[in-house]
Amino acid sequence: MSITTENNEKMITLMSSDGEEFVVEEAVAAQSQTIKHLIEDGCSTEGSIPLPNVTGRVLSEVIQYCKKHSSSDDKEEKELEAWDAEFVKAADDHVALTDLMMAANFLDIKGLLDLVAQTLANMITGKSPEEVRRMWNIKNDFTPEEAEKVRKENQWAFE
Amino acid sequence: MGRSKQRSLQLKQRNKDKKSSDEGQNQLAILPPEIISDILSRPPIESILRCRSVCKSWNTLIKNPSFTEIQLNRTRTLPCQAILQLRYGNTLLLLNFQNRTIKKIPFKQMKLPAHMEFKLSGSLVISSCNGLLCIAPKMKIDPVLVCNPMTRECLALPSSELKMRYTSHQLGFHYDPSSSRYKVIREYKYRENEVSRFQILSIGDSSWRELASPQYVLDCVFRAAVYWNGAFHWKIQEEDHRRGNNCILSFDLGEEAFFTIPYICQENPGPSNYEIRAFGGNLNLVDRSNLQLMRMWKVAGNKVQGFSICLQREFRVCVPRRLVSGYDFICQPDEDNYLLHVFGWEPGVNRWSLVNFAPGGEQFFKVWEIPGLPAYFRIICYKPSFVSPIAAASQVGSSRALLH
Repeated sequence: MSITTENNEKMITLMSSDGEEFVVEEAVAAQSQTIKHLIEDGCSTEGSIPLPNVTGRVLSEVIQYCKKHSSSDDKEEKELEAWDAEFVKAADDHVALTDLMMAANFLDIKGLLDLVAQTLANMITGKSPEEVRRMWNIKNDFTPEEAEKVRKENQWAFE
Repeated sequence: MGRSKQRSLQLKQRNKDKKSSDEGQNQLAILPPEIISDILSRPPIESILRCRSVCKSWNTLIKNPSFTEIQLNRTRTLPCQAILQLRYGNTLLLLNFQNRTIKKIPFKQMKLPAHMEFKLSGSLVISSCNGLLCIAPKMKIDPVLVCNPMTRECLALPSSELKMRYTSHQLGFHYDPSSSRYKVIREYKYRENEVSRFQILSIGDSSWRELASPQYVLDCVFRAAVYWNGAFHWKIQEEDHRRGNNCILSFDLGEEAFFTIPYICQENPGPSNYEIRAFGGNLNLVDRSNLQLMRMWKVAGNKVQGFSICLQREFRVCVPRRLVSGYDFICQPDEDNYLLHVFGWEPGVNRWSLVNFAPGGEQFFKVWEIPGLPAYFRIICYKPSFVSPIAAASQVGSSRALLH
């Protein structure tokens, strides 16, 4: 049982892990290969697709991205690039980019995965190992001898 | 249905494994290793190398052969960078074209095979492929090295077993996807104006194989064979090619067979006093017969339908006289721009410069300002990678062992 709008767009409901419901056009949701396959396999007969490892906050960001990308065609590439940059900046204020990355991975949305991965990569670029660790709370688990050895092997990259 | 079942299983699994991404915890730890690899494969090579020092799991991830593969695939779509070799000394420079910066890579820290004496100052960086450099001595034939300056791994190739003195040799180095092997080809001759001979080595093999080749006299310069479209290319000496009507001798790397490109050209006069260069996706003949005219010819066609040479671009009076003493094409970053390696750009100043040449643009020539650019250098287009020359050689041995 699926709902249709006045424009005769087929709508489906996505349910987040924390029970929040999002009603979106099927074309928007189908940006996600995972959802697309679920629809094709007839898993949305109840009218709702549960997404048990995406929270409502993250899902809302993901849907924003999918909406924009399903309504734009290739000709607007430049504009879309600028939109993407703004989107990921704004998303960073609301959710952890790593959570967005996990969602993009699970939902299999190639463009979003690429966008977030590149954003995270840009955050690493030019930083020292100490700064990278601080940025993401990564524990330095090298012994001083090991640390010295790895650093020596790549000495030129530090100069 | 099968697919969705599988997905929901994965999903449960991930939920169970999922750690909270609250502050105070390693936020990246929630990501599966393949995604961390994807992220870490994207920054410039120096940043990736620095990331090896972040934690043990990143260090292990970056050293993994599958990471090498991911990073290598990513570089295919990226613009090239360059390796500069100084005229003297034991240092290579990595030049980043995008931000116009130079990093020193000390060659003396390369992991040379035991007991091997090898001085970079007595050698030339010949060419690069997949982040590997092929380096050969200036005055001798052996030893040829294949090394990765990023990981500092070096592989010394077996001796050529050539006993007599030679007058010239040219090397070609490239990956052959059809056999998944790196191959090195050597053109050599004992006397000037003699027909060229060839030998080939698939990296990992213990000896070079002599090739039966067509009888051509090639232009003798110590340079790399030009790789384009699955084959190496050499210029046949102009005297000789007018006689035989072939201007380029080619060697298909996959089939290991020679073929020729004929001097068929609609224009009159055709190209003369030219060099062959691969850039912009084409094999080009850069014609220097007229000092006030730069003419660029393109090799069109293919092996099956036949080749011809057509005039692609002609730039009238756009080469300043003072440049004529020495310039070379390095690459074509896009349709409208060429990067040139130019000697003596400033009158009276004897040094090499990097100059952007935009024949259709407002500013024909623009000198690249690069802090620390040496006065004398060789330049080779290069895309840094983690490809291991040692693994490339030893994998062959192990797959061979399996076959027997």
